[in-house]
Amino acid sequence: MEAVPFIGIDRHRIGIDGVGVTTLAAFHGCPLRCKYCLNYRCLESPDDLPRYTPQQLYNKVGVDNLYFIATGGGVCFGGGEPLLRVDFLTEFKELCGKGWNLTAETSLQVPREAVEQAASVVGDFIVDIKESNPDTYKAYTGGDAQRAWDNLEWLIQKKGPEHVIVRVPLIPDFNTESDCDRTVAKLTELGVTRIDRFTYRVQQS
Amino acid sequence: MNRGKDICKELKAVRKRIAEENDIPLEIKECTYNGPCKGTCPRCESEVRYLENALADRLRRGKVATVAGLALGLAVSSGVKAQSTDPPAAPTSPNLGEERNGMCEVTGVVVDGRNHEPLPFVNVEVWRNGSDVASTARTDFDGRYRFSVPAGHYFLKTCCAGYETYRCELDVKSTNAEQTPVEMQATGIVLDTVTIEAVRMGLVAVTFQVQDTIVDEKTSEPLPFVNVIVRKDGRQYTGATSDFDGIFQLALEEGEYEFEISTIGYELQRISVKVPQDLPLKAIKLKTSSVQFDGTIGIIDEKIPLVDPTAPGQVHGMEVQGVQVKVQY
Repeated sequence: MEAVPFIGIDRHRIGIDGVGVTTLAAFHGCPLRCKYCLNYRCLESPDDLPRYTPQQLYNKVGVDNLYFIATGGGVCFGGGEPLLRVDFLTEFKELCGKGWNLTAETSLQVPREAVEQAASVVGDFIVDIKESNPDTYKAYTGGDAQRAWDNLEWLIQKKGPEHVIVRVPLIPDFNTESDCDRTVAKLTELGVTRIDRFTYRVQQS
Repeated sequence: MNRGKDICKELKAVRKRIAEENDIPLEIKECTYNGPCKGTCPRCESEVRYLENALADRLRRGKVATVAGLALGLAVSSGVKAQSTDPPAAPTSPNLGEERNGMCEVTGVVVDGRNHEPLPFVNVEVWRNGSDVASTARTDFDGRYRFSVPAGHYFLKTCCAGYETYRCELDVKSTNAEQTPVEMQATGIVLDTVTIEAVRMGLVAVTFQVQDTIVDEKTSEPLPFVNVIVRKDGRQYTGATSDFDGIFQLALEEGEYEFEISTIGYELQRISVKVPQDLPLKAIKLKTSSVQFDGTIGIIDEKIPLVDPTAPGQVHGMEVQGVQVKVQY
């Protein structure tokens, strides 16, 4: 597999990306165009970004092997959209084996086949579902809410609610507390039990 | 609260737990540094490497090394029972050529040529035509490595502080093949292992902490995983490997030493160091060089840049509770 671009690698994240000590590996590239994108670098030119093959990344993050094994942690793949690189995830899992838990921070804005492949190698998912109202979702992300929600429904059935955290943000100028209530209610109907509800804090520049 | 300090505290607790569970003597000193903390530092990293070596040594002696699940208290969820890793398997021959998606998986083991014990944390590099790095790997606790490359003819190189660099040709095919384990020969006089590790970690005879950064001469970027072999009176005394930030750390007694700094793609550099007169050391700058493999010479002009997580445009921390988003209007 050819080396793929990453916008960053961040070690020693504790309690941020799931269980234990984790290293975040953030891919370049995303299908969405969120107005308040946190990692805008994933949308810019990848020319000057570091690139790694699964083997090279495995060697690089392996420096924290002891921490991963001792705490039940591992590598969280974010981005960007990590499920756009599902072949990379599969090859990486074959390298790291069962000792490291893999987590994917995803919008689920990918074909179902990618979600299915990812589900076989990723232990825990952090799903940024954003909104249940398709118009609001479209306005904020430019994407199709139905695809994300269909994939989430499948993922909950496949992995079980204990392995899926769903983020529900209050997005200034796009939704309201009542909108978030509706989104949470819809998630509960799907069987989601781990919901992370929070507010985007917009910083005036 | 300094997030880095909090992380440092948590990681320190993990190291302490591992050491206690495996009867590994580990002296953890309180950090007195008041500046910005990244959560780790050369001293913290050296403790991790020390634990890895000590655990590997337990396995070599047929003891159980318990790591998995020891520090689940850090985790968001718990309930996984601690389990022990298996004792190391006997060295086996590399298994060449399990083809998948056009790639052939190559696995093998690196052992000490004298006693045939597996060598952990050995850098393994696979070269094509003597000039292109096709893949890299590092041996695990059991001395085992694994990488995937397309079928073809390669050169295999293994590097480890305290051992002669090993090179051989490697034919990777789509059919399985047997090959003898890589046997590395120790350099110089082999000192008592326990004594060496104790001195390295500052547990017994620490007199002066020697720390330095190794960088690329042209770009000034730090060079990780560079081997530093320390000789005294012409004999190998100890060694170290630079970390992600290009930093290595040693504990040396007063005296005169010769540092031999080497890594693939750069010219070997030797410097004389008087401890403590020459401390602190200036940054060591390595020049890129040509590398020779069995008559084929290639120029190295590529390496993987390090990522600075604090630099603009890199990933920032996201809080699970109360995410902060920076927005440019």
